[in-house]
Amino acid sequence: MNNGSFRKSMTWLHTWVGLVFCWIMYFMFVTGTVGYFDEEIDHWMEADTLMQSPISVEKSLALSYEFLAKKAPEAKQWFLVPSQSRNPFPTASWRDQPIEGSEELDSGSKRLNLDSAEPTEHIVRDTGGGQRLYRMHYRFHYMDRTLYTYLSIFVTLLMFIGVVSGVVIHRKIFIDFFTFRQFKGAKSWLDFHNILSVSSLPFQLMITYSGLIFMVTSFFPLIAAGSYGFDKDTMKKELSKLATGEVVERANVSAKMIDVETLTKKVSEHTKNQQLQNIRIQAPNDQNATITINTMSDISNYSGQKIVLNGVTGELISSEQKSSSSGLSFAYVMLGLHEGLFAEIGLRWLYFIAGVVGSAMIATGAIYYVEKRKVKLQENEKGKGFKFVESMNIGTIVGLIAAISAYFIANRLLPLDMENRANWEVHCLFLTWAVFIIHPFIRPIKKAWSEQLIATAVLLFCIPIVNFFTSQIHLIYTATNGNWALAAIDLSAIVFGVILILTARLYTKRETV
Amino acid sequence: MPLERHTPQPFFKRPSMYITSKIFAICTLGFILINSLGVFLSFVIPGDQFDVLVWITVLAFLFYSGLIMWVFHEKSLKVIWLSLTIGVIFTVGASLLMWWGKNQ
Repeated sequence: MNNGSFRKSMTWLHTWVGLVFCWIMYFMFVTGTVGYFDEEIDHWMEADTLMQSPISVEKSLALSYEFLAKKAPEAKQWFLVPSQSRNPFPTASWRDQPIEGSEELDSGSKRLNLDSAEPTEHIVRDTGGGQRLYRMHYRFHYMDRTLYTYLSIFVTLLMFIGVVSGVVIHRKIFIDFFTFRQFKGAKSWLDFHNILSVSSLPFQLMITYSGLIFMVTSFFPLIAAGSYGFDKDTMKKELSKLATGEVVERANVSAKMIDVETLTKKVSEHTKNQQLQNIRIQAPNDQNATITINTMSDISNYSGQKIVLNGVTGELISSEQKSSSSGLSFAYVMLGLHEGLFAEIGLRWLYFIAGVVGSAMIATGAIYYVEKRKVKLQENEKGKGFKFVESMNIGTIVGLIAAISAYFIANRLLPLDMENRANWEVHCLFLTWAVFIIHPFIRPIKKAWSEQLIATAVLLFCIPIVNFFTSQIHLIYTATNGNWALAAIDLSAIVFGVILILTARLYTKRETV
Repeated sequence: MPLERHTPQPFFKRPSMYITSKIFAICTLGFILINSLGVFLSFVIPGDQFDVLVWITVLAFLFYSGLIMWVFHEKSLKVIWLSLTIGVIFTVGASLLMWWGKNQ
């Protein structure tokens, strides 16, 4: 493990951290990467219309405000998200609306149609869409909140250590970067791993560390508690700077809120050149009603301004920056960089490519571990552990892509009136993955690689084909209408399918050399 | 040689226990040390307490990663456990003293 050299001990750490957790890291990286196109996947999976142009902030607010006034007049809170380029449908959410004749409270969130004069709900098929796929990268699935929170912190921390130790162990980082030895077994995989790692190093460092910042208060709550002497009141007061603001309770004295024209006027007056993120209305139609207008900065939706108005008179109560300290500004920029919500289409593709490179980096690292030992070990020395790693590599690296393809296909093939349809889409993903994980354990390894690569390519090709026969927004229609956001999903499936076919051919060629 | 090969190693000198001890040290004392160091630094570093606290918390993962790397580099388990124990005693003690001094 350690012969005194820091580099060698880091090599040991890099190998074992990478090996033991590589399959979970790969899952987090792949689902997170796909998540950079979550809104586009949502539209593809809803399968009803082409991507539409966003409507004005004024019209968005008018629709949501009117919808909520009818739907939840006595709710504890309303939440209005305006129409945006990637998600043109305005969203109206409410929390804790009393239900007549019941002690229960109603909460919900609806997206509204763009083209009707009256606010109407935008009804689509029951689907998990891109959102569920994207959330899997930190929530996984079938897990309770505490478990997934700590598992994702733990794996992300080890990923960060893996990246940093990976930098330490490369004495000749630039020579390594420009070295590629073709068809040399383990050496080729190492060169491939090095090229992918070095080329995306800044992205890997940023994405892992910013991922940790998301969970810092869950992992180190004692630092804040201790520095305030475990005094709950002081802590609550100070840490409210991190939250969305003070909670307003209803006075239970009804009052008329400012009308939507005044609201939109106030919004444009206070936001000026800034981009409106959302509007939060607390205690609507009550004497205590407040309206909080949140704007977002160019790089992070966590930064920006928070403007609080009196909901009845429209008077300004307060206006402040959301990041009130340099530390918060740093954290918010990191969080903004991680989510990449600010990124326009070109930069979004760059995020996606960096994510694909990161996933390939993890995959090649895992394959290198097996290939290196394959050379050293005789056939009879390869124990169950070796076989397990070898099989899991295939089932995870290729199988996960197959599973995601199955998720897309299930979206088109499952009956529309099926109960728990969205959940069954996810079940299809995990069932497919389970089949692909079991397969290498019962097949010879050499055959398992090529069989899985070809089977996954077939599944990928099935996405545009099934889409063509089952929906209106198939590739020919979206491409001829210039709707490239949706066409890109079908085209990406074809491109990845071709890459997998070529990889299968290359693998067969290598095995026969 | 055969005698040496068949002599069982003492429990705590087995390679698996050596690694387990390091992992255990990181998860227990290492974790406590990062928290207590964070509290200590929040008292020592001048400036707005909230701002200092945010910086420390945001950078805590960096300290923890550094500590994990050091634990896996250091050969001696004694050095690891002793250093972490001294670190925890010092940071917890100093933080308590400073908290007490601040509230007098």
